[in-house]
Amino acid sequence: MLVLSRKKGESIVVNEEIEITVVAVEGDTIRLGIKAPKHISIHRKEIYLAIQHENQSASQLSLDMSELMKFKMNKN
Amino acid sequence: MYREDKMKINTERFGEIEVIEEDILTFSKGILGFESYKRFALINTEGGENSFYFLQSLEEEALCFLMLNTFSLFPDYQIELDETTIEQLEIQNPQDVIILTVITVVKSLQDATTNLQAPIIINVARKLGKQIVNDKGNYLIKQPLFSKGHITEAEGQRG
Repeated sequence: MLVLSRKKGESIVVNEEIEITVVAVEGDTIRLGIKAPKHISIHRKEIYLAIQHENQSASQLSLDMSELMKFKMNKN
Repeated sequence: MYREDKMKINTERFGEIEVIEEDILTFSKGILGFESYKRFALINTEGGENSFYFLQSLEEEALCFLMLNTFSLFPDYQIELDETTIEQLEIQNPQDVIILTVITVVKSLQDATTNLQAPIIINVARKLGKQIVNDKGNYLIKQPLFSKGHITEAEGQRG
């Protein structure tokens, strides 16, 4: 992993098109500003971890097929 | 003469089943947490008025997800596909796209939840699929399927 030191207001540029700026430092919280083209998707890592975890739970499917077959949509 | 190509696959849930080439999807990026599995068969369950599907891995017989045809239960569901997804899935017509969400069943179907935050986008024309993160609204990872007023949570902020 590449490790760089940056001060408030300083930036790094990734692949000439993504700019990440340290906007503020408050205690152990750092606020980052990210400028990137629209096609780049940016999310907090926790979201991916939560989705992975949910997919894991979903794959442990405990389902009675007859329950599914008998099921009638009830939209109210 | 046109002939449907059938193939037999082994599954833990259904035993040996026959699927047609039409129903086989490729997930080049896999499904989050299951990135090494690329090929799945989409199987209509014929349960619940065609709202449920199984997504069965062709590479791991024990891997099978129950999926919801999202709009059947959440007709106001909102999603915007980014350019990367449109490119990766080679989407040309919006009508080729179906949106499914993964269902988690712990006890019974009545208590099931679905992950509205990470829908699975499928381009049926090219047989390509991908799981994405939906930035629209404040959708839940564990959205109960059958609670009353299930849309309330989903109408949060936009953009």
